[in-house]
Amino acid sequence: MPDLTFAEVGQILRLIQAIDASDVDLEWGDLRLRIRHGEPTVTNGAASTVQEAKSVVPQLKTDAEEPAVTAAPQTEAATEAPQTAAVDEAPIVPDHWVAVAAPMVGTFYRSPKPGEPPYVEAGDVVAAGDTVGLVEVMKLFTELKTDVAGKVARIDAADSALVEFGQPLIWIEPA
Amino acid sequence: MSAKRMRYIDVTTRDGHQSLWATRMTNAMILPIAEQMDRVGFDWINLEGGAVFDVCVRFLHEDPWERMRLVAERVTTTPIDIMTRGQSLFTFRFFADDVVELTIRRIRANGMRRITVYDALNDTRNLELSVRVGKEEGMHVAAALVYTLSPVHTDEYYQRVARELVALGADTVMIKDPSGLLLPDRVRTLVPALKAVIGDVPLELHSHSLSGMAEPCYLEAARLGVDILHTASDPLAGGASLPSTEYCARHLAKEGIESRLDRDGLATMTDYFTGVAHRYGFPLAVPHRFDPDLYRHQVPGGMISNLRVDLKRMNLEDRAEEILAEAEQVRIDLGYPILVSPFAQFVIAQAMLNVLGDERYGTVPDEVAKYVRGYYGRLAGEVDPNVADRVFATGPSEPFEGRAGEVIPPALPELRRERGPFDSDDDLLLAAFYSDQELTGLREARRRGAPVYASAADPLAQLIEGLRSGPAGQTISLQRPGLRLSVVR
Repeated sequence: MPDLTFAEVGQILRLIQAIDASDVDLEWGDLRLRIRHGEPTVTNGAASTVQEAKSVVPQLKTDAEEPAVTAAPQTEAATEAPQTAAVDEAPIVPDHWVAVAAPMVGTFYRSPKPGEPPYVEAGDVVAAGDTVGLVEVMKLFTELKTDVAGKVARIDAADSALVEFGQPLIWIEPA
Repeated sequence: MSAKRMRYIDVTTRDGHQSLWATRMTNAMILPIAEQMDRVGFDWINLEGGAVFDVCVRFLHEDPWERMRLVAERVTTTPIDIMTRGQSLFTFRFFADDVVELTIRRIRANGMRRITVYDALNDTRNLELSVRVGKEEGMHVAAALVYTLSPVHTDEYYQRVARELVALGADTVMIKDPSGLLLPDRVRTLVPALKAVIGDVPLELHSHSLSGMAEPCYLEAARLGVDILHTASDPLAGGASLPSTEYCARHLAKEGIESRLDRDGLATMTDYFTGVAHRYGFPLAVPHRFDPDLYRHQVPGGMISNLRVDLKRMNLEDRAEEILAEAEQVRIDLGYPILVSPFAQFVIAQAMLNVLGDERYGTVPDEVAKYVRGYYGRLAGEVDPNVADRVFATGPSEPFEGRAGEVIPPALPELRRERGPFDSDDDLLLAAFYSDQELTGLREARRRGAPVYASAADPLAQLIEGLRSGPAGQTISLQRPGLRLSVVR
């Protein structure tokens, strides 16, 4: 019987984790392994569960070969939950307000960096050419600038919201 | 005539998992095998690069500086290598010279003995400082030229770049083929052309097998006198990663090109990393087929899958092919930037805007404009005049001719003032690279205290170590001929 290999140890540990049972009896070559929860029990009668355990192993192999890295300790998906656009029913906009619209599809950010205060809040006074937000696409950030001077009348998209091309994001009431 | 010896740099713990396991290899996976890797006979072991550093900080919450120290404690014979993106170090941003200089010095201080540097535009001015400081620190400095296929990236172009790298003081020159575009036919002209201009300076080859071509390229390059190959342990080799060490050593030995690699040591690594794949559910490497499309659009596979995810999020999945086709044109319009980070993102983003916007180049993202202005370095080709006109219509009318690093004011004094005091220069540099929010996870992990890493002397030790993490109240008994172990906790 050849010695235990690292590859087999990987499979055994994966197996124990995957079946998530309180009691495990495993025979693998010349190795016998028992895990019991609670009261210790006498080592005996492992044979009946051995077959079962062995039959699980090939399936595990198949799982491991799938090109997904789902079992990675932390995936980006876990930290980057998809954001949905906060497009509420648009309230009425007075005719003279001017929109700063999304120049592209992307993710709208109100602050220059995470944790920093937003470029503008409703009520702020802005000059023409002031940066009022960012739109990110494929990790590239484009500054949103207002063409008109005035007061920020309303902000229509939430921070980190997915926005469409041409979607009004910030309304300016011209001075 | 003495047999030629091929030298190897192992990339399993860097590019291997970066290419195949989303860069998710942790200290707990690397450290148990580190001492055994030290004895295999590699000339260098590559441990970190931009993606590894970044994923350590942001997703694994492991300190990348600490990883260097922990591995250096265990790997005492084989010099360890860290790859940086020149003036952008581990990120896509350009840093001030004081940040670059301190980073190179801290890489050495943390026990590393080699750096590999490259610039995605092959503008060697962006590598000057790193090479100089690396040499001052007594490190081996490998400098890379980044390979791509275009009318302007000729053998003569690469000869110019290689001469500049040697002039900077590089100890070795490396052909870096991040998208696996190199073909054996080109190897037959490129390798002799480079060897003709670099003289005695050794030549390294680093090519991803995205299109299944890196293996034949490696064999051909070895015959033509390439001195050093970048390879990975079998379970993490081939496909999006680099060729397998075992494969190269085995086939080259048949042609009289020997190595000093220990076969049993390589077999142990293969076994060990297969075990890591099984235990944590990572995929084992699968060879790729030759992909004719790759040579057309050149967009790396990882980026295409990111693009599809992004498009799906926006309900625009059906536009992917159109965007890839536009990316081909954008790459031409922008003077053939090499499609590696960050320029691959620039090209794809511009292609998206061109396809989804109301007119081509109606919106040019700030970074693309900076690229066109020469802020990142010299461009290999000419920017389409209409695109250039759009960019230069606003802001300064002249392109930037200088070196990016020289116009960025020193950053460390302000960092110390605004975010200090720091416990160490390593922490100061983490602050230079990341916001406090991005460092939150790492800082919390540090407060929880450092885990103890066991070494996996053999598979049984690894099994016992693996069972250690179970819940309390367990009874574990383990029996092998000559061994009985019973644990109650």
